[in-house]
Amino acid sequence: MLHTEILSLVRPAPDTLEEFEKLVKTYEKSFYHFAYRLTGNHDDAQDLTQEGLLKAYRAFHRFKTGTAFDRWVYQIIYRLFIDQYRKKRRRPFVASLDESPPHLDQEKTKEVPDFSKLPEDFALRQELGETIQKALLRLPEEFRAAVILCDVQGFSYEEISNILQCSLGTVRSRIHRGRRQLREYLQPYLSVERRKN
Amino acid sequence: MNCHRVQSLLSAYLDQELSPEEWRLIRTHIYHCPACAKNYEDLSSIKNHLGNLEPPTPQVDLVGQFLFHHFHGDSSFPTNSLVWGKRLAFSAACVFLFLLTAFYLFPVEQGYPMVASQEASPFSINPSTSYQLVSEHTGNANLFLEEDEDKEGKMEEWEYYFLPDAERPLSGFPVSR
Repeated sequence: MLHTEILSLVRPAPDTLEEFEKLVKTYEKSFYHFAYRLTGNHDDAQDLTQEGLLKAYRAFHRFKTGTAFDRWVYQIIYRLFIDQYRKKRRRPFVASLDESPPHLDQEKTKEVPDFSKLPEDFALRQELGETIQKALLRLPEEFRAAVILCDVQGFSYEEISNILQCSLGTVRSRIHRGRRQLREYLQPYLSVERRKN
Repeated sequence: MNCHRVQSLLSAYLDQELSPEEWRLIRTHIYHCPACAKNYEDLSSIKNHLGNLEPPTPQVDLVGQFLFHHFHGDSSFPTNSLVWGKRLAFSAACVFLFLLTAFYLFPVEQGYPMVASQEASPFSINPSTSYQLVSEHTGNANLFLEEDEDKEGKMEEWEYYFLPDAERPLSGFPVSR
């Protein structure tokens, strides 16, 4: 794991804030990316990240020496997300199915060298990015978090089990079932891809 | 190893989270089974697409804003005890306002506390009560029950004679002590 490093931190001291700030700046983008993939829009992702950081700072004195800071904050963000998701589920959001969500307008896949230069390929890839995010949002929140941590953030199963506070078997099952559901949602795109190959 | 078992382990195989023995068995199975191979390709494609998603850029300076508001700008952000203290103070103020309103809307009558709290019963008349003394003198119990507004607060001459101060009846209602 490249971005996971074991850090030895002292108990709250006068320089706690500087220490915390330094750590947060190191992992800022990863935290935001995780929150964005979980929530699916920028506003909720910003709220979730800021709330997670605030909670992390308040509990910074309980941060265990010798554990990874990023995994600890991921855990806080995930728990916050689950709490918020449960609250939101009691008050369902009503939206039009005809128009695409505004947060997906900026969505696009990473640019990779493409020698075909076909406009339809480019459009297909851009559309695929939006479709993947939509498909992710259709997954149950436990599956979604496990799949994101594994495939987007690149954590190992053991690290994911630490973050989600569940057993290795549960992580394995959630990732597999999540991917299987994604395969169903993305079947048309996968078929096109297979035909090209 | 059958297809069902292999398909349940495909994700772990893809993530290289299997033991070397399991990994070898699944690789052999995929090589010979087109259905499992197709599933493996699909899962692999999904993993690649998810890994290639571009990280979104925050619309604001997330950490800078957070640090400014929560630490530099307002170093004493509310703690739990402060929040609960405010709630407690608000609740106390609400209770005080309620009591104050109730006091002004329904003031307590100070004039006749015993009259309101006791009922007259003809069977519980004690010969030594003021009721008996009055009714004997007038010879008509109904007169006692009718309140004479003109004479309210005044006492007849005989009442001063017969009754001690503490035993004087309230006008119109019998009082049992």
